[in-house]
Order: sequence, then structure tokens, then C-alpha cells
Amino acid sequence: METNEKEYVVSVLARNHTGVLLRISGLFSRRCYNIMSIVAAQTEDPGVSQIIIVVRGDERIIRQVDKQLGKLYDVIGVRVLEKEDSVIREYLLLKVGGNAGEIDAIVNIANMFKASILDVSQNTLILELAGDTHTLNSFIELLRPHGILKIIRTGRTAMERGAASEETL
Amino acid sequence: MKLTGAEILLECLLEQQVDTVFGYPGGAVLNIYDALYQYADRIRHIRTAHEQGAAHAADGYARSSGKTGVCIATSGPGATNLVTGLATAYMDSVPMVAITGNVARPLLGLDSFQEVDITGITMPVTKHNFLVREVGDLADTVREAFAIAQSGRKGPVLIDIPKDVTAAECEYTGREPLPPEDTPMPSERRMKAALELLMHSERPFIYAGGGVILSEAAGELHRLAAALDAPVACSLMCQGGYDQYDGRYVGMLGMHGTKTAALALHECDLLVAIGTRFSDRVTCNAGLFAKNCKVLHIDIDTAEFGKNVDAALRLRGNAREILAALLPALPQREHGDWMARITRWQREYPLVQSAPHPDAVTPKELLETLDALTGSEAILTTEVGQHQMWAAQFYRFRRPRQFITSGGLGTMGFGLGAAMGAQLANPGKQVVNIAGDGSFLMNANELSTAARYNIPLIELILNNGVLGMVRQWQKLFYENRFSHTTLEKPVDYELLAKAYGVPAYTIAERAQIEPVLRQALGEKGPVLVNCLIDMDQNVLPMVPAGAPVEDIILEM
Repeated sequence: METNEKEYVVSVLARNHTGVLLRISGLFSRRCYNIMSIVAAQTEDPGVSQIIIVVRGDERIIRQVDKQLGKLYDVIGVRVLEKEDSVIREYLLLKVGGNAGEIDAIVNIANMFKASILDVSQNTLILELAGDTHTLNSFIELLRPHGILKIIRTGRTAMERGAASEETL
Repeated sequence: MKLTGAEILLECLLEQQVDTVFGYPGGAVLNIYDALYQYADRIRHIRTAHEQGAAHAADGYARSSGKTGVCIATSGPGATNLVTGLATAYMDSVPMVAITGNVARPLLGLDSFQEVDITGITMPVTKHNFLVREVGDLADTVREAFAIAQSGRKGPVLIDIPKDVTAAECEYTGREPLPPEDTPMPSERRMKAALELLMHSERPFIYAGGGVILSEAAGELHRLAAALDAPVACSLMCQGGYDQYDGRYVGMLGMHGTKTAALALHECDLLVAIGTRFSDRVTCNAGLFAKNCKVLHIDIDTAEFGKNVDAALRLRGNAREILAALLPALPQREHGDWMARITRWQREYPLVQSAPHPDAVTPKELLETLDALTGSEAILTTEVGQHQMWAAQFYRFRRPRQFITSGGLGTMGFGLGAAMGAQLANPGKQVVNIAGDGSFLMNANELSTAARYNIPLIELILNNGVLGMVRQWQKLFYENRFSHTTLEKPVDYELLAKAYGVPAYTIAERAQIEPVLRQALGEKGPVLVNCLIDMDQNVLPMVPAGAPVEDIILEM
């Protein structure tokens, strides 16, 4: 079974009611689906929330996730996003120790990834990078030898390409 | 017209034609109970002994009538006492609206006296729930709750109302109930494909689930079986969904189903599964279930497709509407050889039960006598355990809503409350709660409610002095180590019933079955019958959990 497992990105539109995130995350825990990340925010319509969930599982599980989410009263729509048809991005904040001798090397890596330097303090830098998961992982690995103090990742957020998917909105 | 929140709540219940509610008063629902005092001529309130009893009574009321059951509880422990009842109704898709009071808004979230986050607690066991924060939202919330409970796959909805919201005033205008949401029909292409499957099947087998009863599809199911010339098995939840006097009926399918049903499943080439979620108590081993045949799965809940069993074809929608649309296009089929095999199996493998000695009461004889004396027309509710299976096996149900049982959750303590609800919804019918002594003692307190409101149900206890179903598993799988399943409670059931003001009789031997049941059936109020049975009577046949349905145990 585990060999067929992969990550799926599920986009959920839901009524922005109290507890809606709890209803969704509760469904995942009680049906034993694995959430890798969950990102929620209000859409341009203040009454509607967009929730992007990355789920790990096989095809059977993802079909169940899709249908069980669809049954929640506050859920307006569910789409399992196809990687080819979607832009999937993640945002990273990273604090790295910067001894005098290392700052140049760190700045070089940041420039290479077009990361922004948000804060420079004595002996530390805060870097910002948005990109796909793979890019963020490489960035982190290159900086690791310089002493990473803290990492915050938002988890993946996603949007389908083109106009077709927006008809439901 | 300006009304208080409590009055608006009751007006909205009247909009939905609610005439009976079950509940228990308390601090946070004082305003609601004050309004119930004024509305007593229009809404009958039944005060149970415990909130769990109120939830089960609302459930029994709903299952036996098809209407939405309503229960009321106060905040905190009152609300948490509803949880088992809600979970029971949720698992069996019963339309219910539960109303709980909560502490006043300024006290919410402060761990106030009798405060509990009941919407948080009941999220996994309700179809949806609401916390009403403004009195202006109350009426529409109640209307929405009833629509959700009755739409699509039915289920319970909880409305939590802070005390100050029930006191606040607001303008109220009556409305017609919102119609339940329509479930779309499957596409023409799928319906055609279904007809193809039905027409080309040589050995079709119909397996009906609770959805047949929920969608009122019993008439269509009967016509389908006749047109298809096919045998029919019903799940526990569909008992009564097919007339058991009909020769096509082969009994239950699953863990305690008949051998004929198991053989039919093994030999059929098409399983027509209607309104079912393929519970593990039916499939026993979902991976091995229906491996020799195609499955046509009809259900209202798309999430049930492929959840437990993969079907060759899935038709999503209301079972009655789908069958009604298929029937005119289905020519009369003849499967003489197949039906002859079925009939032979039925003769070869009848349900049997042996008595430990000639005078002993067997559950089979008890239930068959009850069946005969009530003309197969009684409404049976049950608790959970061996007696529940015997009731399903040996009473011959003819109509939907005649058998009311906790199938999904398996709630011991369900039956007596459910019987009260069923009896109040069906004053002209005889309601009998089939109980075990273990289950009875879980919520025996509700005898006081039956007595207080003179609800003329029969509480029929199959008293074997043990937790029989668990004991049966201990015999089969735990080498007779009867860990804590021998009750040895020195309870005098007749005396206990009398303390509640309920007359009681005992059946100790065969000869007493008929006279005592006749006497009980003649009572004008509630009555308890304590029937002594052997502790080693087993529920058979039995398919062990995880085994293929064909591995059926006929004797032990």
C-alpha cells in the first residue's frame, strides 16, 4: 500500500464560519488521513475561506478525502489539484547565524536564490524566500553548514492555471 | 411580532410541525422551559430520566415515523449526556435536531458553571452543528437545521443556544419549512449501464440496506425483486424494508446472516446493493467481499462509493427515485434455475436453535410466539447484543420502520428510550423493546418515564445473567475465559419494575411464554417481562470478523 502513497494538493473553498478549520482538520484526524500542511486564508469574498491542504495517501484515500470534505456543510467546493495545471508555492523565513567571516557566503547563497534579506542583526540574518518545495529544500541545505537558528515554512499554497477553474467562484 | 429567543425557537418547531419533544430541564434552558410552559397545548414535552434517554427517544420517534426527532438538554452535563444518542443517530443516518442551552454569551469561554464546548464535542457525531450568537439568527438557524437533518443522507444536527440569546427579543415572522435539498439523479448513461447489468445478469442477488427505509423505497424494492426474479437479503438496518413473508427473502447478510444469503453472495453474478455502506458487520472482510460477482452500488452518499467495496457501477441518488426510474425500462426476467437453487438452500439451511432441556425457553420460540401474537405487526426496538440479533432473525418484519435498532454504533441502552419515542409516534401500534439484562440495566431508569407518561410499551428482557454476545466471543476466541461477562447481579427485575410503578411478569419455562405474552399485550400501560433463558444460547450462524462470508459457523 505504502508504495502507492504520494502527496496530493487539495484546494477547499469553505464558508468562513467559526470552527470551519476545526471541522476540516477534525475530519482528517478521525478518518486517519495524513495532513502534511494546511494553509487557510480569507478570499476576496470575506464570507469565503480558501484552504490548501497537502495530503499524503494513495488514490483511494484521496478520493475519500475529496468526497468526505465535500459532505461538510460549510464546504462549498473541493478540488484535487493536478501538479501540471497548478502553481504550487511555499514561503520560507529563515534565521541564520552570521559570523563575520561567513556573511559574504550567506549573502551569495541568498543572491543565487533571489532570496531577500529582511533583517541584519549582530551575528544573525533573516532571509525570505518563496518558491516550490524543492527550491526551498535546496536553499535550506546550502545554508545548513552556516548554522541555521530557526526555520518557518508556511506549507504549500496553490492556484490552478488558466480561467477554467474559476467558473465556480 | 416581537418574541423572545425561547419563543422563536418554539415557533420554529411549530413551523416544522413538531408536536413532541424529549428533554430535561436545567439552568441554561430555563427560558426555553418557561416558553414550553406557555406552549404546552401545542408542543408535548416528555421529560425523560436522563438526557441520553431523551436523545434515544427522539431517535426512536424519528425512525418509527420518518419525521425529524427533537430533544432538548441544558448546558454542560446535560449536553454531554446527549452525545451517545447523537452518535447513535449519526451512524444510522437518523434525522434529529438536538437543542442545547449554553451559558450566557458573556460567560462563554470562561469555564463557567455547567459550560462545555458542545459544538466542538459533537462535530464528529453530527451532520452539522450551530452555536447561535445572535437572536436575529435563531429562526433561520433552526430552519436550516431541520433542512440539513432531512436532506441527502439524513442525520442529527445540534443547535447550541446561549441562555441570554433565549431571553433576548427580536422580530419574528413565520415561514414555510425549507424543502430538503434535492439529490440529483445519476446520468442517463449510468442508468442505461445499470439496466444493461440488470438485464444481462443470470444470477442477480439484491442486498438492501437502511437507505431503502430512509428513502421510502420498499415498494420499489419489492417490484424490482419481482421484475428481476432475484433473491433479496436485507441488512440489520433494512429489516422490514422487504416483506419477510415473501419467498424471495433469504434473511440477513453478514456476520449473523443466513447461510442462504452467504451462498447467494458467493454464487451470484451481480450484487445489486441498494442504500448500503457495506459495514464491516456485513462484509466481514471487505477485501474478499463479492469477489465473484459484479457490484451495482446505489447510494445517496457519494463518499460510500469505493469506501469499503469497489463497485462495477455506481448510481448516486435517492434509492426510491433511482429504482422508480429503472423499473419501467426493465423487462420481466426469469431465473428459474437460480431461484430453485435459492429455494433449495432455504430449505436446507433454516435458522435453528436447540434448547438445553425440553422446558427451556429458546429466544427463537419466544420471538416467534411474539410474532404470532402480534400478527407480525408490532414495532420492535432493541438494545444491543444477542437479543438484538435474535429479534432480527426470528420476528418476521413486513413493513419499513417496524424494527428500530442501533446498527452502526451498537449502543447498549438505546432500546428503552427508542421504544418510548416509537410508541409516542405510533399510539395505535404495539411497541416492544427486546432487551438483554445487561443492556436493560444501562438505562433502566427510563422505566420511570414510561410509567410517568403511561407509555404502553412492553419491555421484554431476555435474561441470561451474562453479557451474552461478549461471552459468545470469549467462547470462540478466548478459550472460555469469561472475564467480567457473568453479571451475577442479584437484581429482582419484577420488584425493580414494581418500584417504578410498572407491572412485571416472569417467563421461566416454555409453557409460560404464550400466556405471559398475552397478558403483557393486554396491559394498557408499560409492562416488563423478565424471560429467563440459558446463558449458553449462541447467535448463529456466525461469520468471524475478518473472515470471508462463506466461512460461516453454523454450530458451536
